[in-house]
Amino acid sequence: MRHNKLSFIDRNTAELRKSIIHLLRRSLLYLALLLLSVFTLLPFLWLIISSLKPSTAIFSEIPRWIPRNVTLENYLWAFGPKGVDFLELFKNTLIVSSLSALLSGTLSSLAAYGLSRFRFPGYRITGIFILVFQMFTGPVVIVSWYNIAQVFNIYDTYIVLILAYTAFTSPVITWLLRGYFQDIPEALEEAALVDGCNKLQALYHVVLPVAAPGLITSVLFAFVLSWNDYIYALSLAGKNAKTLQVGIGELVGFFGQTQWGGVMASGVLTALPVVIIFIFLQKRLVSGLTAGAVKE
Amino acid sequence: MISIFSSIYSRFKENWVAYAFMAPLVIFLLIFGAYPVLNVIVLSFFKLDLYESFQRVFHGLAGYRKILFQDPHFWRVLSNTAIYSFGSTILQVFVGFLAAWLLSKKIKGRAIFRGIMLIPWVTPIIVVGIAWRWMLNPSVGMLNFYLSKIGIINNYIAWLGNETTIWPVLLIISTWKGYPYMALMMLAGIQDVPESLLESASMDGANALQKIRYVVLPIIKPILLITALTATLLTWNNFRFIYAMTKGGPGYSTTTISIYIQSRSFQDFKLGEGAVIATLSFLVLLAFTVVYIRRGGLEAQ
Repeated sequence: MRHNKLSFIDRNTAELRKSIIHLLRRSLLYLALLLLSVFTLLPFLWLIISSLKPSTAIFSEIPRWIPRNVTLENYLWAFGPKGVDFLELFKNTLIVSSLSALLSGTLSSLAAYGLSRFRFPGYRITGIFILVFQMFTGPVVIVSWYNIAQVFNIYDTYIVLILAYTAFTSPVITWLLRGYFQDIPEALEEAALVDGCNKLQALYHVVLPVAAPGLITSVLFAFVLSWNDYIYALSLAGKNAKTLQVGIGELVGFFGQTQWGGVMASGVLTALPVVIIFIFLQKRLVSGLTAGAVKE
Repeated sequence: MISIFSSIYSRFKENWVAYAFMAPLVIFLLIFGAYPVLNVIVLSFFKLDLYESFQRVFHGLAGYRKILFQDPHFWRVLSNTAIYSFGSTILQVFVGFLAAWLLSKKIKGRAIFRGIMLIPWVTPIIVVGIAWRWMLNPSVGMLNFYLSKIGIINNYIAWLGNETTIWPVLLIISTWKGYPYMALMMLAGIQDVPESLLESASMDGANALQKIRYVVLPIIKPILLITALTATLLTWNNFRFIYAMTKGGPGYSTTTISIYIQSRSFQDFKLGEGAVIATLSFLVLLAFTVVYIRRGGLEAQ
């Protein structure tokens, strides 16, 4: 009887200790995640807060987390004549990035479908060929792009940027899409073929609707990649096709000391479209990107 | 002879649908992917200086001799690139793994944490540059303010303005920007680790570090190696990060190969020399990749 009682107490304290340790571990885990999130978000948070302050308050020596006066003057400056001519740059970037994303999406979805459905002679080498061009982008080939732009007389036009962006996004997008297509059962198309569709019709009527979410994700990802480009726009565009990143970059140089507020507001506006797009496609994009890595 | 052609023809005929799907992208990439690479390599044997003339003049290896033996900055630039590329990748692997490990636990709000984490990754680099340069501002930046308040530093520091702090600071920011992608890839790998393996390791009295070392790492090794390789190559070629943070300065202290190619080609208009630097950079990368794949035992994949 006595023995039983003791062991009962023992068991209780053991369980108590266990649950305390568990609780401690959990709180440590959340603390670590919280710290990581703070480290991750702090610069942006501070950027947004600062962009909402009047210029006098921005340069105050003591960082104030909750602004006394919230103002949109910096945002108005960004849109105004002294700023970057935000709307013009926005228009350029939007046109170039969307058209390139569409072109890239079209070329890549055909190729990705081919890679996911057929085993043809030259399959491996074609796959490697497409992969390899992820390595040769940006600075390594920028001189050639300058030549291309001159030969075809397309320097400082939308066309040269669209072509350049498509060249660097399409390999990535192809691999992403191949993963999505592989997840679609071939039985679907076989049924369509039996019903008298040809392969292209089967792709159009049967596969594309099922693949639509993945396709949209990939096209938007291509859009974000193009939107975030710097080197091509810097080297291949002058006044007419100047993109947001380059425009804001020049702004930092000109007004780096005097107009931080305006610069910061322009920055927030530049980040906004891609961050919003990203929030919407986050889940699917993540599964697509990682599936490619795991399956390979 | 005829039989070879007819067999090629018949194989083509069997597979023409597949080729039709592949053709648009392959043709596009031949023109706008392969041609630019070949053109750079060819151009590297020519002298093309737009200030002097628009004509290219063949001069063999003279451009290489000039860059390798007479250029005052090339070797510095190369070592900067190595610091940047390897330094960021190693740090990103560590922080990325830590983040992935934390996120692999059963926690509430994992999607939210993951979403937060990925914001730096997706944000345009110029905005990242503005945000960090604002935090690091020598006179009114918050980093100086808080560090001096808690007594770690006495005088305000120009973090991006002097040679001692600039690389550590840049590597931290580069890690901040790049770790999310790394974490995602590794998270996918860690989630493939069978729960039962981890449980039996716990039964055997393994602590967290031992579990990582002996159970998790061997399983995610292939993903880890491939992702680290991709990250190294991408940072090596990354132009915009350094450009947005320091434009390669002060002096040449943070100029990397991509910055150097760009400024040689489009500020000095010595396109021939730009092509030489690009080709050399490409050769270094190729050598690194081959050695890495051999050493890492990635050939099988």
